[in-house]
Amino acid sequence: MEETKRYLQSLLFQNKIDIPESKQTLFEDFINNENNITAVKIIKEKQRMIMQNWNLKNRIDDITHQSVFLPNGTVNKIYEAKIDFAQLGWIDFTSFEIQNLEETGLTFDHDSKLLFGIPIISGDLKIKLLFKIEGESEETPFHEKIMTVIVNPDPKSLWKNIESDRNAPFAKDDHVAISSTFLDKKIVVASKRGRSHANVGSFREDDFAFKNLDSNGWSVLGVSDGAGSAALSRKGSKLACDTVVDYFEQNLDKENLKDFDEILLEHYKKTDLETSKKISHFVYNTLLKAAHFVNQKIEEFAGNIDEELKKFHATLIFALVKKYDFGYAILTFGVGDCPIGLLNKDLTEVTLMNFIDVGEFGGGTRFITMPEIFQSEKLSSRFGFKLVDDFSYLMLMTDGIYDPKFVVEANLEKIEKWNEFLSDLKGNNQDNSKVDFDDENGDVAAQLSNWMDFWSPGNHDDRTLAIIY
Amino acid sequence: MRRLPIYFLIDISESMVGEPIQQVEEGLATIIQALKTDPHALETVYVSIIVFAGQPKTLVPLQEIVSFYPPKFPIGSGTSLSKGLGHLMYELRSNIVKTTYEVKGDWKPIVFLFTDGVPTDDTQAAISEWKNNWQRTANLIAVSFGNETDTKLLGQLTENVLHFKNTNVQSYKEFFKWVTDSIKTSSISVENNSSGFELAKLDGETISKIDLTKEEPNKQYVDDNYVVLSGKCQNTKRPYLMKYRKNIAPSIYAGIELASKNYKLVGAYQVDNNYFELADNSNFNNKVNTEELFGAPTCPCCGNQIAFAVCVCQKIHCIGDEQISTCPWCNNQGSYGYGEGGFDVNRTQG
Repeated sequence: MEETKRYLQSLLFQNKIDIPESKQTLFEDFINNENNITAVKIIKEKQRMIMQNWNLKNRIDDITHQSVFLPNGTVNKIYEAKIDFAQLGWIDFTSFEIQNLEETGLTFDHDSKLLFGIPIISGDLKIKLLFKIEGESEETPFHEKIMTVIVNPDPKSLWKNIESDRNAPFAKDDHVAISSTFLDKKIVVASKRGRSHANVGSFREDDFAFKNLDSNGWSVLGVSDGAGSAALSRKGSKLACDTVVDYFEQNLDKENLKDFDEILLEHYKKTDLETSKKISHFVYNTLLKAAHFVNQKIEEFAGNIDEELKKFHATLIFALVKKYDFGYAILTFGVGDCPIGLLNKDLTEVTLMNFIDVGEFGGGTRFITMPEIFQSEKLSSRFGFKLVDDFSYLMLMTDGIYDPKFVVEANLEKIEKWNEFLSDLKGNNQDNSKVDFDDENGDVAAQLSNWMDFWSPGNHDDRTLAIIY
Repeated sequence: MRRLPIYFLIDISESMVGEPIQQVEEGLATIIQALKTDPHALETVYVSIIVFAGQPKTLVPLQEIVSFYPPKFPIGSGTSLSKGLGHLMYELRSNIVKTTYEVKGDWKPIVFLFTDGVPTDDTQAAISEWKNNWQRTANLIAVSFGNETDTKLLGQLTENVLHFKNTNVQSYKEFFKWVTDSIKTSSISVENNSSGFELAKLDGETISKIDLTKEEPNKQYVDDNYVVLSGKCQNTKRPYLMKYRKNIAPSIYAGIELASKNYKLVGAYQVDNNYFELADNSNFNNKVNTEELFGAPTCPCCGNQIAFAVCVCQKIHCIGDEQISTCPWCNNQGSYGYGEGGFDVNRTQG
């Protein structure tokens, strides 16, 4: 009764009708009228129903628009994700099922609410959740919610291997591997086009060259990495390596080689400041001339074909080695981010023979084609000298090897990292790929080339590794 | 492995509400999808999304694209470019790894700034800090959406100020393809080049470079290109925005030709409660007369016929055909009639 009264009072009020004292009895009769009581009851019921319907609709709308985060998967990799109903606030679900999983490789377990399997297709998988919530009748059709599972492609499947154009100027082989002798030791070198170049059919930009200069007993090895941003760096790196070998072949005899042999012997017998100084002078003068000559030659070459020098940007590291009765003299020069590592006989020590040019951010290196490197105060730090009884390995490599295998500069000075690297070369790797450094092994070049195919995400530069052993 | 960090700094002020923000949302998802088809990008690109309105927020912290999940973009009040930039610099400082002897550094980061309006705060301090500390450390590309951006100001940040026009669905698609191509080319070239950032080729139709020598600086603290009104739904208590775009109409007044300014309804959009979190809290009281506004929307939250009812508390809410309405802002109850002539309402900063 009270309910009917309140409702009718407010209805009249909303319609701007007041009930004066004089009409109170009339109003009492009005609210006691069966028809009115029933009408109010029905109105109230209908209102309740409307509100309920609205709440249901609103709730369903909320669920449909609710963002549900499902972790990303990768093709061919095990996937597992729990759809946490409690956390999502889906406690009012009366029934549900998951659809659209056919052909995805995924399965949904209704009880554990686990979505799992091995995705077989990549892309944004649209998974359908069908649900009903509390307050809905049995007959109500299911509501639909689309959830997205992002499946990443297997990166390995995306790389293409397009051959480089054999008819383009300065074309060169995508892969080279060679073994030979170096002084009384062996040498093996492999140079391989990186995935980034293979993917677009561009050239290998790395290069190398070596030679035993029989007339004077020295041997020389150069390795160069052409700059990716320089259009003709494949030629720049080749010129750099060939030129440095040529230079020593042509000019080394003219230097005071006899004097140097004597200084070295003296130095071997008694290392003092005097002999060290003389050696430094010789190394500095001889190698600087060679480096400078390389710079000049490339500039000349560029000028002759009317191209900009910067199109030939390339790094250069080289080692000049001679065997004496008392040991090996190793002279090095380096510009750029390619390391030269010398491992002692019993693998307990490594000497990093050069200074690595790395920028503050990735890619900030220096090239032999930059005349300013000869003016820089850093110049003297580009030279290296070592006199050793013997050594196990002398390695020259480009950043295509150094980046994935050593990662940072600091590791190049750690003997344990080099031992890991050696053990990797000797077969301790995912692919069981092995290089046999036995003197009699005729397959060593092919083995090194094969080993160099190792997979390393994010590292897809050209790879060149030269090992004297 | 070296990371190539890509930052998106995105204006989510009210004027972006509706199609633009939806397109940006879909566009970014498309960018990531496209990058995943490029093995280079898939292995090197890291992405972060920072949004700014009156306040900035990191929507997606820097992460590799294989773990990226497209976020839902909120809308906020105001266009505080200085706070957006400040937050970006904070993120760069905390996340970017420089090469040292013992640490592998990142590639030079790339920042895409998307904005459609005029900053509602003083940006000079943030711009100077950017110039002094970050201009050479990161590649910034400022993209102006529509014609109303203060491009002179963006020009102080970077040489790369681009204008994105013809905002239909197709041009949004082309635009995001251009962004993707720019990232792809640079994830190759940065690897081998110290300065190395290459923008993909501009088509000049959808997107073009702005001549920064031409335009005059623009100083104002309300984005006048749009009127955006914020309301609350009476039924659902949820916030919504009504957006009107400026329209200059020629008119003749007392025999003199004048251009009169009015605003045409673009639409009404539901927003979530992030709107308040991302709004500028400073006291803001800017009015627009309803006579300048053409068109009235229905409530985007509950479908009530009138979204544009103003309570005595000066705030806007929706009304249906109920006799007594309750203002969802101040809970005041009352009945509404139609207003005669124009009246002033509070607008947002845009």
